[in-house]
Amino acid sequence: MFIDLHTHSAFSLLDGVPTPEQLVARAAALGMPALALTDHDAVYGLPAFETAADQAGVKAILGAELTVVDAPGAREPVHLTVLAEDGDGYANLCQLITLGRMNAPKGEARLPWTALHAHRAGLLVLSGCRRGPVTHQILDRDQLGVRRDREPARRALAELIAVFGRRQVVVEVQRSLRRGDVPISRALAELATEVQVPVVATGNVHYLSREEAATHDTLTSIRLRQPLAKLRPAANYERFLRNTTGMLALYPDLPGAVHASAEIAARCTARLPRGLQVLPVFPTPAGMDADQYLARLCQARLPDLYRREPRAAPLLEKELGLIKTLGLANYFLVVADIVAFCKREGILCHGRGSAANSLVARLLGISAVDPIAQALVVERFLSVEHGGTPDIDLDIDAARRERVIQYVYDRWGRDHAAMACTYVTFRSASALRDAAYAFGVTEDGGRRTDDGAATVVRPPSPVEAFAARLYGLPRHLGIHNGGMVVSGRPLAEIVPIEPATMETRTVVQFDKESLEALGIVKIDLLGLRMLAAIADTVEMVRVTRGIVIDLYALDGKDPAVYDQICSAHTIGLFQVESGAQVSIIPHLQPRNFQDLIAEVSLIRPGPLQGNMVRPYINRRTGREPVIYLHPLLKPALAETYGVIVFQEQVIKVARDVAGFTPGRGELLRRALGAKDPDTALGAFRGDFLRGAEANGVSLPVAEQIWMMLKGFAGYSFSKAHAAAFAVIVYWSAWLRVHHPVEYFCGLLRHAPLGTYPAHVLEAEARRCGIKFLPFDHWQSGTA
Amino acid sequence: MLPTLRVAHVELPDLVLQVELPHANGDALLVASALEPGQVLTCCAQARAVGITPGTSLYAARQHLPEAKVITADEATYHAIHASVQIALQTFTHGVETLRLGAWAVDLNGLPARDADLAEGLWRAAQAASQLDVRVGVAAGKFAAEQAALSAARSAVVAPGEEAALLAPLPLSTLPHLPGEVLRRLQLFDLHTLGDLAGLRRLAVLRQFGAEFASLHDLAQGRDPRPVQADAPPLRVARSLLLGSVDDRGQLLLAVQRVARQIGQHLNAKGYHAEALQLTLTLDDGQRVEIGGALKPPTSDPTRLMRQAAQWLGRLAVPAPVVSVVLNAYPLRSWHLGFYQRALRSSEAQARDDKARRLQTTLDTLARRFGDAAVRVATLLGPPVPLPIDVHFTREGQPARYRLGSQLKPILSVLETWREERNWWHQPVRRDYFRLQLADGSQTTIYQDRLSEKWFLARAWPR
Repeated sequence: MFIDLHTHSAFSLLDGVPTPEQLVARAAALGMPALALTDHDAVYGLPAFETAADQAGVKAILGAELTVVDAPGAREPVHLTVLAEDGDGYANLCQLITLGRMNAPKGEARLPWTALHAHRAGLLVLSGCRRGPVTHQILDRDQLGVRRDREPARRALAELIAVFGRRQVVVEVQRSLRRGDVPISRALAELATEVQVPVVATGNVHYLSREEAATHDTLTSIRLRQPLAKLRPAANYERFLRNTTGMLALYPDLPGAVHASAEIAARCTARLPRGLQVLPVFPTPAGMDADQYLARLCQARLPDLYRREPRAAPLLEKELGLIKTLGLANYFLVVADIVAFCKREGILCHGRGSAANSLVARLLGISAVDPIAQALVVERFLSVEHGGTPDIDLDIDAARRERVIQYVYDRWGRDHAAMACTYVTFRSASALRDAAYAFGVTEDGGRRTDDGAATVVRPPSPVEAFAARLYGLPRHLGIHNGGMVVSGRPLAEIVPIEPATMETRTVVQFDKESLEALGIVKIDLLGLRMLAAIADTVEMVRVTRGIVIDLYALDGKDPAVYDQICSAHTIGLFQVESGAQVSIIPHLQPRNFQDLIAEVSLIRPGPLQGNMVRPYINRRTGREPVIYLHPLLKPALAETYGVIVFQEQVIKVARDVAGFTPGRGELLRRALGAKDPDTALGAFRGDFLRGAEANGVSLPVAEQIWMMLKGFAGYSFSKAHAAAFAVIVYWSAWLRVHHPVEYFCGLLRHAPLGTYPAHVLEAEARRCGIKFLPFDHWQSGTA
Repeated sequence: MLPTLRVAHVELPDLVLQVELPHANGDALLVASALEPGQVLTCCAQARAVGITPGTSLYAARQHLPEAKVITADEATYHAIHASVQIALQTFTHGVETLRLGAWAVDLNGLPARDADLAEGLWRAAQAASQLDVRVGVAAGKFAAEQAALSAARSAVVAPGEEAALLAPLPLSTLPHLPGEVLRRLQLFDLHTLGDLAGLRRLAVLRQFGAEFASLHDLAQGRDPRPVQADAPPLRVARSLLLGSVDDRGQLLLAVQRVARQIGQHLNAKGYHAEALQLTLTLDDGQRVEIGGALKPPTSDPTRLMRQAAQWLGRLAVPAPVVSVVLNAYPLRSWHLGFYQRALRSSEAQARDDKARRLQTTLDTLARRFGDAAVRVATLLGPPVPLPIDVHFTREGQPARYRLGSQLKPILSVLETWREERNWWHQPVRRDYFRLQLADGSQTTIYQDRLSEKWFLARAWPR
């Protein structure tokens, strides 16, 4: 039985073709019971790999190929294949990758040999490819055969054993029909026998078939920035995944090396650490744990905001219970600490997204939305059932956001905080551009010549064909807009950290989806230019007029603000300035905060595709009656006149009609937003129809309701998110009404922002009677 | 007793005229000097017949031959032809001395071939490189060889000891650098040919004309001990690039690769190999950092030079921004040694003498030490052309023997197999290689082209 312990996916970034899912599928098709993924100095692909492997019934072996410098006797960096045997091994693998990455410029890795010893526990080390520390010493100068002098290789293997221990070292042999493969692998096998360590055969897989080798060459050309014509090509197209028979055919003299892979695979039991990371322990007063301290902070604030609201205390108690059950008290305290920092520093920040569902978030100042007044559902944010981790997003004054990010780094330490990454993939334009480069033609189709002159020739069809092959493959690592991960234990034990392009930032090797899949919570610190404009407006009003504006104290009921919005002169206002928004304002005529929430929510793909906008407006203006498909829908949809506008209403409909729990309702809502909703919804349809029937809803009506829910598939706002945005809409409108000069000044200072360019904002300001004067040194304080 | 010399003289007679005459369209031709304006550099036979000679003023020449076509000399073309012929000659030996434009002396000592073969080979190489009329003479000295060449229609070989006979009828003015006064006095003595001069006793000549005339007397007697002084490559070639205070490694790498490529291209054009490289970076604080080392084997391959320079740059600690990059290649040597000699030697019937065996051993040692690929790089011709063969198999499908022309080579065993596939985007190469142990004790490599299904002998090196 052969199990490949050395494979590269597309997450080796331009040095591998298959996605982790494709690798697993191929391994399953070949009857391989396990498979290792060993991308270059990275674990980017491991979450997808493990998930796909679990689904396919293939055991996932976690590993990486490390680039090690200063190996004894080696002048060049060497490659080591490292597999995690257990949880400690995975943690050490992450630490080693982190050390290697942090020791090199972005995109590279140089792990010092001396660092291996401290992080060797739980790791199984294979001696690597031709660039491995042992093989490297056994190769002759031209890499076509073996040296007569085996002593350097013997010493290199002894060094490896000295670091990791004899039990943890395996001599790796590879045969892919390259010249010298047979004598090299025989020499390595002899050496392994002599030193009494096992020998194992691996495939060093970079693609799934010979046909894909061309794609790999193209990726290599892009990686090395050398056109294919100038590239030193790989020897052949044989580095694909083979089954046991295929491998045995290559190793007629070393069948034991092929079968040894199964024994080694059996030793590797490491799994990715799933579940909430150990969050930083927030410093609490003596005698109080985080839960108690959180409760105290909330209860202290409760009377100020909800003195006359009897529903507040029970809701708070319920939320605190949920938070305790989920172990999220420290998470809330960490976010509240960031918000407190922003307030201390005068940086405008505002919670968005589902956090606005939470009363605790409101009490801690994270959100400005009142969840009780807006009848928001906390299960949309926190639920024991759906198991997903909460995701608190903070909109921050874009001009000052970096200070907040650096505060988080400083507050918890760079070992404990980092930003999420993104995998920048080939899109249509970049794939075509890079494929054209590889083939030596310019993007506009001309053939590239040595002196850069170009002629006008259509790109040969391979360029387009290869651009299509590249599409969707990860190209390089990017940085998430603002997602930060903080951890109590060193983050590098959970996920490797590497430098970002900005010197002051570091990123973890998992993107948003991977973090979510593993249950690692992140905090999104998002830069919002409108908040920067608003903050500048408030400051200008304070300086020029001596008026201090407390935005949080605005009650959302100023008629002048709604008059302004209803006039449809909304250029420069947050979220309601686009043509589509302006077109519904005359019909909707928003007169209160609820109307603003609806206004913000209606022009979204979900309501638009579900054909909800026109019925909503007609029913609200009395042009058509408010009807419900079934009376059970009334509690959920009464506030939106019988149509679905908000994400939460899906949960409520599922609960009222089919008896879904809030957690299961949340899962249904997520399925509606899935990339392939038909497949994702399949698991819910039967339950929904059965639940509806049990609640006395006839099958045809239940089907109609189900179709209504399906029609809502597509991007939409949660009411909490819309409410959070509506707050900023109100702030911007209020400032435009009461301090238009300073407001337009603030907008122009941070342009471009919103829908319109600066000259449109200027024209709108002139239309409002604002004069534009030449620059004045004295007034501007620059003289 | 002086050692016996064997020297070839290669001449492109009237190189300038050969180049320019086709442009005269049958008219009389005057070639005006580009370096000395107003003077005739050379002219056709018709012009010479009316008394025009090189050095005549152009004005006077036009007075004598007003219908002649005047063309300004194209020095660059003449020198390019000269350089290409010189490179061709250097494929035989590095002992090539430039005598003047279009004339060389070639040291044939030690070349394992017959003089006639060498003369013919040199003629072919020079003719192929220049596409002009070429004369070659081989004799036991430069002077005799030159005269043999000038008197030959194509090539001529003067047998050892026959030099004096060749030279005897030639006029005294043939002697190089013969002072006019000496010539006048010789003619007063009724001495008109080299044979006349050679017949005088040496002592009498010394007494009459002085010791400095002794060497001319030797020449007339066919004795010419002057060695061929090979054109030596320069001691080093340097290329530099000024940078505007660069601290980005990527930009630095590009700069270093650029100068390495330039050096490689220059060496290739000149026909030299670098034996060592030195990279020097000047930092903006005036400090200089250096790294370098030997190139084994020596090379002029720009790709290899770029890779080597990049590797050294990678090892170099650069503490401050760099303002200039200098790459030195040295010491240099001609790279034309080897392959032709092996080819010439193999053409000899008696190739298995001791000297040839020693050469073979040396070459094989080099191949083992540096690899076949390295030896190929170190030769002029690049990889040899594969030879088609017929392969016969055992029942098990293993190669049993192959036929190359009339030779049948039994195969003892297959030592190694491998597959090479590349160039899918342009001219695909898909081959299965077999390294074989032959029954005669030697090893060889054959391959099957998987696209044409045909078999080839991968190595066609002379053995």
